[in-house]
Amino acid sequence: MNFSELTQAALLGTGRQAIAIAAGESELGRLLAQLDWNRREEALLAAAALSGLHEATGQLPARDTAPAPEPCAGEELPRLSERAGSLLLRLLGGDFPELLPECLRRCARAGQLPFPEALPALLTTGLARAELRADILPVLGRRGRWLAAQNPDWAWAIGATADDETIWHVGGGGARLLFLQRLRRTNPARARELLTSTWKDETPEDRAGFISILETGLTLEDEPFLEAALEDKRKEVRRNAAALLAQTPGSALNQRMTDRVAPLLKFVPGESGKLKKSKPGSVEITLPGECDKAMQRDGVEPRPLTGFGEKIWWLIQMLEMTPLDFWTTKWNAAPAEIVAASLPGEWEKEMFEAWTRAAVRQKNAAWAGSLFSIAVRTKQVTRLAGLVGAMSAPQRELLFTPLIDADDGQAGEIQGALVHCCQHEWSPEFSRTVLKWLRKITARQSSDWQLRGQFKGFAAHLAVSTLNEASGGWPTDATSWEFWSKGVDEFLALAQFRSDLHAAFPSSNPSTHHLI
Amino acid sequence: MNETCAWGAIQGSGRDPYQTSIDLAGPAFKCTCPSRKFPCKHGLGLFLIVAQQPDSLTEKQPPAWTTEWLSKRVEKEEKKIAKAAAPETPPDPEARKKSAAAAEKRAASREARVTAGLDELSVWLNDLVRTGFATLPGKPSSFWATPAARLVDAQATGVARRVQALDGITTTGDRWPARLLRETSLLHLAREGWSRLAELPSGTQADLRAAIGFSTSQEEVYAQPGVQDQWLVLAQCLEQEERLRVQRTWLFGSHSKRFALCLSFSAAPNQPLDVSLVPGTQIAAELVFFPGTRPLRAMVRQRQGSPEFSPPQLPHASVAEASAFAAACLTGNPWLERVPFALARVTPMPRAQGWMVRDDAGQCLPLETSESQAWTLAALSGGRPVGLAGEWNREAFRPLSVWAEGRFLRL
Repeated sequence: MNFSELTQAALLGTGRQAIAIAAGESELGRLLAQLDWNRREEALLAAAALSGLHEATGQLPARDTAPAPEPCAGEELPRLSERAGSLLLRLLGGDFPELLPECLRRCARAGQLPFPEALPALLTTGLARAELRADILPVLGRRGRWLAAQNPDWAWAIGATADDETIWHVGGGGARLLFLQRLRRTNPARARELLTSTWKDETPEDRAGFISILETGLTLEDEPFLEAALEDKRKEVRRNAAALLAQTPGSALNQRMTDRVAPLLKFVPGESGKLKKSKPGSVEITLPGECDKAMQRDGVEPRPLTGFGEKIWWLIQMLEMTPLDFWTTKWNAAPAEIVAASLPGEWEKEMFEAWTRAAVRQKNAAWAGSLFSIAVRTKQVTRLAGLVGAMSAPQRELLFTPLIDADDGQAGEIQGALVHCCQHEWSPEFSRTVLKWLRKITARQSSDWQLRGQFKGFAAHLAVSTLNEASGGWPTDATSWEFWSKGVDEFLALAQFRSDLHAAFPSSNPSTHHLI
Repeated sequence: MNETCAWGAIQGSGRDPYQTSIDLAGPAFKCTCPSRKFPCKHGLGLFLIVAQQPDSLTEKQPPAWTTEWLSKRVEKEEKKIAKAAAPETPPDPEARKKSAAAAEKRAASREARVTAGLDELSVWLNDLVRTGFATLPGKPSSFWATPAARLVDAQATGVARRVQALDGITTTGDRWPARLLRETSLLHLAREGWSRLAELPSGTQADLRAAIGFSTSQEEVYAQPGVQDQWLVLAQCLEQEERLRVQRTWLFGSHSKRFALCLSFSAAPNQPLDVSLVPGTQIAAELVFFPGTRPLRAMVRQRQGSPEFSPPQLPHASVAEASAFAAACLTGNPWLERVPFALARVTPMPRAQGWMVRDDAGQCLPLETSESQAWTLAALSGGRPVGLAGEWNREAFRPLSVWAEGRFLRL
């Protein structure tokens, strides 16, 4: 009786059936025959012990004949240092999540690959967080791509780096998106051609995702495709197409929009009086009469946002889509002058909204700078992030430094918001300005919950060369210290980690990596 | 810092800096601070510096306060060994006789309890087989916990643990009836063996006593002849058993070709586990083995020098060799729950039925791992053979350590 027959008997129970003994002539059979089968339960257990052990010790390993995956080719690039490798593993394990992109870029710049044990976590991170994929791909190496090819979850990483266009026709959504992004950077015309060739078969979601990729390398050549997309069934696609056309100098939509708004605004220049007080300029506003089909086709939404009148809302949208430079050229006036002239009066809030939206959308640094000063003066903290995003790093630092320097450690709200939305890697000078201000605030201000919450994040932007200066000079004896110490400790821990991280890579000229 | 120790003067809240030393072979800590935490924050801080910035500790000659402490440690260690080797003899033969008699009485009473407990277990087992395993799925936890608790009362803790482990076995897939029959038949075998213990060979007696839950005293183990060897620390794992944390460390002797298992237990969260055996390293040491047919469980009696990293010579050249080794171990001790495998060249592969490792001859073992561990293993291998050490549980191989591309990693 073998083990599986005994198992069957045990499953049914000896109470319901007699057990047939087939002892056999083998050594095992002779042993089984010695059992007292009148005591069924004990005999069955003893037989199972004997035959189970007999089978376990005589078991031959299974044979596998399925083809083995092709071994991975050796890497061309060197591996990270042990230290850098272990820091990356800590980041992948969830420490300091804000530093993962910086670490990945540092690896890529050093031309070094992570240790293989980091690859599954990297591929899984890329699956969940699509925004990190572009940073993950360059450090996967051959081993990472070899691994990704064996797990359907990691398909996003396959082909994303290949030059082969077949991925566009056979790949999954994520892989195709990455491929198109990459191709658009190197060969924008080919990317548009490929997109056009499959456009009618794409799902509405994919169309909405793909069309926004055209923002990279956008030219007038994209116009026919985008004009056609203005008729798309999905609203998101139509709006993206209109926004892209509005950004394209010389496009027909651009001209149509300009034609619509040009008669609605009239600029009266100010007079710089010599003896009398100078008179500021003004902008006279005429509201549009209707939102016709053509306007809607060009991306104007007829229903206003809460808090806005219908007609002024149409104007705001049209201004957002009209190049700001059109006004400066037409009226031969500086952005600051136009902003100052258009705000006073009935439509102050609405015009500020219109110009701000336009500056942010068009990433117009000069306009953003003028509007920024007003936002700071009127403490419109929620507006700052967008405007700061439209400015270049040096412009931001130039504007912010005096504001931050001037703060005596009492106010802090605007400054905190500024530093918070200043997401580029700061120059050493600006880093020191912020450090000085933070020390001042923590010494004089007894509490500021919002700032304490943002504190840690600031360390992610300090210039690498100033990380070692961060630890000293804190007002540890001040009465306010009890409130601030936790935030400062977290800030310093992050700064220390970054310092360790950069020290773990071969040194490079620091001037190459501030102000990205 | 030098090869054996690290030291530092650390400014704390006291007037004078604290003098902190670490014996790196232990590691063991010594500090002059008054903290009751052990190791104290100064020791840990210094240890972190040793681990992360060893270059910053440039001094090579230890100060007097470190060398004094180290030599005291060596003295203490020697005394402990001497004491273990020569068990104390009570001066008065009369008293000795008395205490021996008392011990014998205690032992006899425990054996009687175990006998009663196992008899009761036998009735329960027979009931299971009579009514049939098919009635078992869906039984409440108490169905298994009650007999287990009675075995704990009967001081048969090893058997109790095995009965408790049956809870949930009916949800372990299609093969659960075979698994349950295997486990119950081994319990039956333990009871049968116990009923005629004296007739069994001494090694089997020891295996069975250990399986039932009798412990062997440290003195008794230390009295065994030692095995001096260069021991490779193959693998380590930590498991939670009820409120007890159990750390298993597997070693392999490069000359004796013997495997050894060192256990460390922690009953409370702040009770530290033994950290002196670092997987991937080799140590010169003398081990003493617990008695048994094919002794595996061991303790380090004495170690020499500091651990070294060196490329290992893993003993199992093929899956067939490892399987033959498992068969030999199980033949000697059928109650053995885990057999150490140290495979020199296997390649991990995903298959429809789960992950496995395959050797050059095409023979394979199913793996017991989490998905993420398996993918880490695949990443480390890159489709090429790696060295793997771990535990075979009769059904699957649980990898714990990997040697790949000249590197060692714990999974």
